[in-house]
Amino acid sequence: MDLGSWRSQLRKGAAELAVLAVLSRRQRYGLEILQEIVEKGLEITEGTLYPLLNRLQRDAKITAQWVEDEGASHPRKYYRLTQEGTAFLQAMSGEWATFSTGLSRLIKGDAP
Amino acid sequence: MTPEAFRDHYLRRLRWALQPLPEEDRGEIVAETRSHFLDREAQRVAVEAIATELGEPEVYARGFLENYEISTALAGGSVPRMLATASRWLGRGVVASLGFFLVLLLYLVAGSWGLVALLKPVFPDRVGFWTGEHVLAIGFVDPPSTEAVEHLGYWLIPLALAVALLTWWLGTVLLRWLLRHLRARA
Repeated sequence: MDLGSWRSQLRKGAAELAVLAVLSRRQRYGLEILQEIVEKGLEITEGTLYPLLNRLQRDAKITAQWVEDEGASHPRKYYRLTQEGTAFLQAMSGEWATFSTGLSRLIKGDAP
Repeated sequence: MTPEAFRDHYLRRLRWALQPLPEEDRGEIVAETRSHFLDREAQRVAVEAIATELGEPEVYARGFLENYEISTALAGGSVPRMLATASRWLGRGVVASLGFFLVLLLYLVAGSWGLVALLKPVFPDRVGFWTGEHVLAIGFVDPPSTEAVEHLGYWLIPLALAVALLTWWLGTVLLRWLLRHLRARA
């Protein structure tokens, strides 16, 4: 596996956690989610994000509603976390913390 | 082509590509994609660039279709349908292929033991569990040598049914896990 392919797999695996984390603070629409993730230096494409939001909604991790923002020319689909999604995010965050700490120690060669 | 015409053309192709989905889902996806176009256009991004970011409508649609196909197969719970869905991911990764063949193997084992349970009342002398010198046989066999001893008798039926049910259950658990794994990577 080359570096590009590995990086792509890594990002794909982390996309779900990134989306749920962005939604944990307040409700957002697709483009807002995308831009916040990209601003943090992570990568996600439109072609990945919208099907992922669709799946998370189908799994009842998030809910959506159409909102007419003041001054906007069109309605936007806003997403928010459900209770199930919040619990899932907490579980994922814990797994991620354990995983990244362990991996960092391995890379640095720290004693356990 | 004007930006409006380009956007409408993209959305028509997307709606067409999403045909297997229920009408309500198609409408939602197309409306959200339209909303995305309008927001990006307001940021002064050209419609052609927005379309490139999303990908070809048929490719973009595939992510939604795969989600839907796996989700409905999982929700329905029908083993043939779940198997048919998983089979379409063959060749798309080691886990997908190995997992599918392991599931098939488990169902094959379940079917074989179920058959043993069914055949025992029909061929009581040829279905059983024999041991003896140079003999170790279980299931449906040629008449074993007279020195071999059959141990289970009709107890083979509940035993075979238990093994069949256990392997069927294991196969189904693995199949459901495999579909969820595939959907997460769709």
